Amino acid sequence: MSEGDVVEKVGALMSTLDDVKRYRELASAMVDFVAIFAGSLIVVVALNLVQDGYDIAYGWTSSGFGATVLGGMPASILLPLATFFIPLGGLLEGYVWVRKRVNSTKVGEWKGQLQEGVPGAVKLLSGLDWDSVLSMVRLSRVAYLFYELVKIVGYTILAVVLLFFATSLAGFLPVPALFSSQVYILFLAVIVVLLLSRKGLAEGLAKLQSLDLLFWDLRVFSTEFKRAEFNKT
Amino acid sequence: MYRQLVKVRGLLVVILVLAILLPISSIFQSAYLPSVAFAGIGQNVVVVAKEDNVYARLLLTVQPLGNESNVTVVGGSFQPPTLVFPNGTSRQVNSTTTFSMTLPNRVVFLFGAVSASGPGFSLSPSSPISVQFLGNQNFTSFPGVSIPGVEVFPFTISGDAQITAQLLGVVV
Repeated sequence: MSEGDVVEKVGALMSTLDDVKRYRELASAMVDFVAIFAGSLIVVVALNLVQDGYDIAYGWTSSGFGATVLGGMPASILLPLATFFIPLGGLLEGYVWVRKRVNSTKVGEWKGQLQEGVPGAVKLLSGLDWDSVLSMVRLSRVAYLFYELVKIVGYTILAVVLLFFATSLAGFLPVPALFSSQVYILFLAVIVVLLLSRKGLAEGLAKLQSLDLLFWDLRVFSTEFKRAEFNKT
Repeated sequence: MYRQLVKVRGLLVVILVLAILLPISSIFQSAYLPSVAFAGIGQNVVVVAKEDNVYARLLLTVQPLGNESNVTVVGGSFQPPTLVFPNGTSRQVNSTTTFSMTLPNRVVFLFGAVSASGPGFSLSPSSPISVQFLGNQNFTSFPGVSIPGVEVFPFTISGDAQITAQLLGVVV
């Protein structure tokens, strides 16, 4: 193996570790994402509770004979709109937050050192805390799986809300007798989301597999590297 | 690490609040009677029913089939609608009127699950309020319903009219 090969391989490793760092940041940001989305759901549920309580206590303006939209209740269109847009806003805000966090991860700090050639590459490898690196890769696998799951659940919720509104407003969807309309909408939403995200799912599975391989490769490499003669000096 | 633990703890609190709020939202129930128009001889009844532990508000809109509506009564003369409330008082409706009424609960908590059905109503623990329309009935007064745990309010309307009703209740 030439010196150039060594530098190139160490560069590839450090680049992969940067990706892993991003996944670790993703794991941390996903907690924020779920909290932001759950917070938006709390706002919607609380708004509906307050509106229903107010309507029962003080009455509401009858939407009269035009009240066929959304089963005739409620009279105001503002609440259904808020019920639709607040969770959607929560999803978008969560997504933007996660992207911001992941993009702000410090990566590529090793590039300068790698330009020194093999000594720089050895210095980089010696400077790595292997236990922490391995634990980071392990965490990244879980984080990535969690991210994919949350993404699918989020898309499904979005699809359910969109389908619910479409069926409420238009009433065009044929509902088989086997299913109640809500079950049918959920079923349809899951099918649509799985079909639309099948490419992403396949890529995600491949990424999980590569993280798995990386974990085992690094484990073997770290053991050999610690044992290497040049590392003991 | 500590920061992450605090964040996860915060997330658990948020999820707990959501888990508490979601079942609470199911205590509110609504029922809706789409627009119905009728003309001619016979009694028409909007049957509103609820379980004893439900506090509800009813909005009943009556529109005479006259100049205000787009429905024309063909043959015979226009009969202005008369609404008879469950307590027996009656009122002639000459223009579109929305009656807003509260139907208070009789008990705060109902022991056991009540399911009942009869002419113009069907109640169950999952739908403790009901509003239905019975058209062209032949009776002098709506037959009383005496089922424990259930209240039935018949609103009788005679004459030519178009009606709609919205019912919103809270289980207490």
